[in-house]
Amino acid sequence: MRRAAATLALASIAAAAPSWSAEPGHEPGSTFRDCDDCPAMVVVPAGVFVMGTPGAAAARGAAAAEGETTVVTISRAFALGRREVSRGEYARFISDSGHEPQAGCRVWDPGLERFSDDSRRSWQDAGPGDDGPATCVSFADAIAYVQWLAAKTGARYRLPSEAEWEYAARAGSRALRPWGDAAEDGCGAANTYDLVAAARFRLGWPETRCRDGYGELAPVGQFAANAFGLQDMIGNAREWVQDCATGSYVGRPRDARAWEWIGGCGERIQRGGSWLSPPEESRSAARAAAPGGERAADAGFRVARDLEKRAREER
Amino acid sequence: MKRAYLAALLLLAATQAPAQQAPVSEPRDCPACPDLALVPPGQFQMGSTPDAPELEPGRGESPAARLSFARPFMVSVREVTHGEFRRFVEATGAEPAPGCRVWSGGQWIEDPDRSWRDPGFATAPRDDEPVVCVSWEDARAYAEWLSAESGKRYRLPSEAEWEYVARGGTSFPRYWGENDSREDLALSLACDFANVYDASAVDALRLPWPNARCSDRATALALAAQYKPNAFGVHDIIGNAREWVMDCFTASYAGRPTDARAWIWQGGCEQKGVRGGSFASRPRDARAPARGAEPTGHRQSDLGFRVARDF
Repeated sequence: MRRAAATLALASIAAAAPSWSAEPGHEPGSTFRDCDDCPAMVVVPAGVFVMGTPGAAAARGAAAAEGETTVVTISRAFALGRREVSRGEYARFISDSGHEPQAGCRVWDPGLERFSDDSRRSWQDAGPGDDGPATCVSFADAIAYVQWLAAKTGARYRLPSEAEWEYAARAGSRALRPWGDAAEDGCGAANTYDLVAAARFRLGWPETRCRDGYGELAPVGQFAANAFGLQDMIGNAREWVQDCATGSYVGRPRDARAWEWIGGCGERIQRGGSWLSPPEESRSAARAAAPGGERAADAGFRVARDLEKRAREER
Repeated sequence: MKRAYLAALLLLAATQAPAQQAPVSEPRDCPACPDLALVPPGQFQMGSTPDAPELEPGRGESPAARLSFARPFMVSVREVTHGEFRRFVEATGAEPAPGCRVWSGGQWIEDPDRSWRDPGFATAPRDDEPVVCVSWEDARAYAEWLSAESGKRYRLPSEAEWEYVARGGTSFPRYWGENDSREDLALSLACDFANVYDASAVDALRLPWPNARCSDRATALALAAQYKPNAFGVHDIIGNAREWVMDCFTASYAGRPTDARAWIWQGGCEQKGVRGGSFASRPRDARAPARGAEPTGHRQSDLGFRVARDF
């Protein structure tokens, strides 16, 4: 109930947003596809939110930034993939574009009980087939995908910024997770490192004390949507966002823009955790960083898209 | 004495730099241009490890980063002085807007009547004092003017360059070798090397933090280059006026460039790095690794800059 009220409040902010017009049919909450085999998109309303987690400053690494909470204004509605890009969608991109990702993927080695780079693995043999999320993709692979999709459709596809991602994951919620504070209440909403996964893989960190039904990657879109209509924001595959990685939010943009360095950066942010992430990493505000070239069996992405008409922008 | 430092620099340069050498002080690039020190290429640890005595969490000094400087560069041996800056204003008409944060009546206040021409000290600014009450934009405009005058590319130092210079070839937080302002209650060496918040400034400023246990004879700004330089021949990089650097500021080094480049966001940033501490700073802020930041347009009576250029 409270969530519905928050969504309404956000929608009213969207209505009051400055002179900007969405394409017809792109009202907040609506869904669309730009082509038959394009990813399904959800229109996310404009709004204001608190990025980060109050009191998290004592954490280490990228997580320390969470405590430096920042009020971020998303001044325009935008579209975000309803689900993580699927392996089938990614396969179409590979065959259409001629993009040739390097082989090799970072996988969990059950024999060694640790992650290791396997030069024989690639996006083609990760996860539950074409319905699963595309994984074993580097940041550059993800960028190549959105550029291909933009060229194919004429729409401005891109990766979401970190701020957009967290805003969309929260969907009006100020709790630790889209469904509330408790990890174990989320087995209907997210494929995380749960009792099922813990029974299959002993990863050496705590599991979420409920059963989500999957002990590995799940097909995309199997879990309940959040208040914005987005699925799998938490769990399943970690998701690349556009932003460079650093250990503080001090100085970050306070709007929807991605935070990037002139001259580029070695590490990018990944969000949402994956099917093998402990509860601590399966939260709306949790951050992870990975080298841009890393391909991991539990890391993928979803696409974002501007809603402005091209002609308007070029003027 | 000076010869000893020159020798030290040449020794450093000989061990770290490629064959090509240049004298430490070349003729100035233009009549208005500053004296420059040649800083040899090399490596250093930027920032502080968790065991550093005066590390203050949340101020961005960590994680410490190993940085490599592939090429030598040049940096002004002094902070840009009042006289040098006046020459720029007279030549260009680029008069900084009035209004400066000054120390008055026991606190920092925004005074709309103060400016670089009158920063509010007991005596009028002298030409050989560092210029203060200049914003980051003012400093950048000055560097661009020098570039036009000289045909060389003057700029602010990057934060990495600044700290590399401030360390003076040492790994100490103070190039004269003191690790910790608290570690011995004996007389501090700082006053031979830097105009810091010391016994001479206490009566004038009455700041709510400890002073260095020595006397540098200055109650506020000192004339530039009155104290001993570091091994690169650079004066006042700790103390006197705080100094703007090129970089944007965030409170962590995670993800920063590992070379000499400035760390700047696409789309710009509101807060720029400020380094070195001043005559009024806490002891922990007058250290090579200590970081600070101010909004780009900020002007304060203990904040100036020095310039750098590629070699």
